[in-house]
Amino acid sequence: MDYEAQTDEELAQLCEGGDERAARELVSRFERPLFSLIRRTVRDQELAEDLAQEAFVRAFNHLDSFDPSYQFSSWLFKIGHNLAIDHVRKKGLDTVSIEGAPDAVSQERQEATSITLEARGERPDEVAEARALGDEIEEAIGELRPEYRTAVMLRHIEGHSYREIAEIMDTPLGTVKTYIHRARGELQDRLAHLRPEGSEA
Amino acid sequence: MNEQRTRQHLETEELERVAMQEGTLPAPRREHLDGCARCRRELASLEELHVALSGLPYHAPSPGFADAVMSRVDLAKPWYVQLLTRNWTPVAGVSAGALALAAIGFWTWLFTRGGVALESVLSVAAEWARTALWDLVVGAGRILVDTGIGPTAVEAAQSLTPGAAAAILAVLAVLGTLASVTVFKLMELPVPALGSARRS
Ligand SMILES: [Zn+2]
Repeated sequence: MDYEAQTDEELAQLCEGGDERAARELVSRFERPLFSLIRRTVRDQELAEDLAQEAFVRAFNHLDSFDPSYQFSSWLFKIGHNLAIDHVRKKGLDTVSIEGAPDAVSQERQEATSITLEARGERPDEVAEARALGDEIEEAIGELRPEYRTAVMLRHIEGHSYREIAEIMDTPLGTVKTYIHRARGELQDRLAHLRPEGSEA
Repeated sequence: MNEQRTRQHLETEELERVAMQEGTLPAPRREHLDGCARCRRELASLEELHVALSGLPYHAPSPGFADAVMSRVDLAKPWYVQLLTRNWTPVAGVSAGALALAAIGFWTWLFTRGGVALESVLSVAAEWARTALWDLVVGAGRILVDTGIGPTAVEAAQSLTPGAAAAILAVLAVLGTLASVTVFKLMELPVPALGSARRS
């Protein structure tokens, strides 16, 4: 069977029938998005890895409670988001995160950026510039409240609809709209200095 | 109505639809956007933010991540897969125990009822054992030759330390002796003629 050609939901159903290769395909599709979402929420590489692992394991071991009319990614992100936000609340990280973004310029993120950009064949100075820009954005995201952070990432990085985000975050639709609106406002303020002079007519 | 829709500024959802390329605007709204500096400015700012966020590279977990996940996943398997992959050790243990008990019971019954001579039953068993042993020796030899395990074993032997080689030889010698003794003991037993298994 060509696993790559299957939809996420078809793969989830194959998993339910005990198909481990289908599960592996789902892991390879979502390990980075899920891990990134969790890592940007908890802001710790190792912890994020544990939580992302836990999210996948819970998802696969409770496939019987997955409704195939929903998106698999929404369901998986919901599990991951719950784990991450529980952790953040327990540790009271909401307040800590405002103090700064200690890991925003972390080694592996810089490497990830440079690998992506070098693969695109960009010049080294462009790569360095984009890396610095990426760090600025990463830092600005890190300074948002965790709820704003998750909502705005799901909207702009994962391309989920407001309805799906409300589902993932288990939050009313109106609240999600507020989160995203405020998150964008804060990000635009924090990133305003990156805009070239005079472009803000 | 259309007049109204042309005058109103764009809603956030409408701006998003354009900025994130999720769809198109109806003509009156498009018309408003084209003629409204405020909406165009908002759109440009939203587009800028979207490009910045959607262009962020993903963080990657460590390379063993997928294996770590899979080692903890217990997918509900269909019955035939469960049958093949489940742990059979307890079942095998209980079955072996039951078989042994049945065999002991059978032999006890055979010898206490007095109808069958012990020697004749043993000789039938000996004949089976001889045939099976011979097939096993020939088969094993053929596998060694066919698969090239022979030469591989020679290479493996060459890389052994003298101590290990001596130990292996000693074990082989003991096993060989035991096997030879068993075979000779079996050879001593008479081959049964069918029908003569009953005591006259
Ligand atoms: Zn307008």
